[in-house]
Amino acid sequence: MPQANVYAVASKDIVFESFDGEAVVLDLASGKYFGFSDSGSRVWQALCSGVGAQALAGSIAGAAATGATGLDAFIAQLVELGLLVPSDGTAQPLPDELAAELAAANEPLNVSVHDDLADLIIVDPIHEVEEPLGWPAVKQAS
Amino acid sequence: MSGYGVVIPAFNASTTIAETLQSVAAQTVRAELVVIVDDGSTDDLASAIVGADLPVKLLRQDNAGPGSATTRGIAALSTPFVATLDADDLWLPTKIEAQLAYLERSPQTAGVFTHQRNFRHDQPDLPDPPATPGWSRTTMVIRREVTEAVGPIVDPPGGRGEMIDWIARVREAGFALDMLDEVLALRRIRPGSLSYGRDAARDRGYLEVVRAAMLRRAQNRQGSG
Repeated sequence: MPQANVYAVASKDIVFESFDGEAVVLDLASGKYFGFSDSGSRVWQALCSGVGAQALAGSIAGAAATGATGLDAFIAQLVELGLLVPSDGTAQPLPDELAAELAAANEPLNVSVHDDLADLIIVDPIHEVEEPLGWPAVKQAS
Repeated sequence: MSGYGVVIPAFNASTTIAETLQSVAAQTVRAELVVIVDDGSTDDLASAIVGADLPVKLLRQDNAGPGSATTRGIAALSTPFVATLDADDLWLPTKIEAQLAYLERSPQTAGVFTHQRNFRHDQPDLPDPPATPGWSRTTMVIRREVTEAVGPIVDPPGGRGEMIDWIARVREAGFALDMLDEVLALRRIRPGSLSYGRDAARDRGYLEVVRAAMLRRAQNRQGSG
């Protein structure tokens, strides 16, 4: 049994982005970053948009090398890593597109933890300051 | 031969760069050349640097980001050592002397950084600002041949974090980078930013940087496996 059904991103220090369907998560406070397998990327994406774990468990049953037990353990790992926290929000349905991608995934649920850039990332005093004047986002950013 | 040149990328930095240049001019070891790369500024940078007691070369380019501007500046230097500096930060007078002495004592070290403290723009400093390891452009002194071996400093699409990416690539190429415990640089901070919310450009850039690190790792695994 998962501890909760709905989860939320643990804090504002946890930032993430999907690159060609592959989730990349960064903890700005610790400087650690996290890479995901294809199924793991979809589960991350679903959980942080409020999809319930129970709905996910139903969809993931057919996906490669994953099952309800694997999902519980995976979610527990994301909570333990400080990326997700249980939420009392209302469960959102799993979007069809994400369900299809999950069904097509062929790697087991997995998250990898990397700390090789941590010393470089955490020295930036993120909370007290704004960027020094003069270097706004490069123009093409927007 | 321990001559060094300085690269300062500048974007709309006319209010701060004179003070930055003063801190370069005040070094106990004089710079052979200071290359300022104007990265498409819309302010009057040229007037702001008049009167600097330094051999200055001003280059201009269309706005392309601090990494691009730094790369351009490094290419304009021929000194054995390259020091880089943000256009709003300050060096303490013995910074370069300490770093050059370190590099001469330690020929296997490719580059050396220093600790830094923050100071607040137009406001009194906090009572006891913490010293942090400055893995940043402002504290770096590096051998020029290393910059040639590692290649350009790449600005992440839409964001910041170009020095994190570049320093990571230097390490991955097998070069040793060291950190001096002494605080030898000051980083300018503009207080009150928290109320303006998160810095999306930094977050986006950092995510691009860690993504690139993962791709390089995957490529290296493929290459060796």
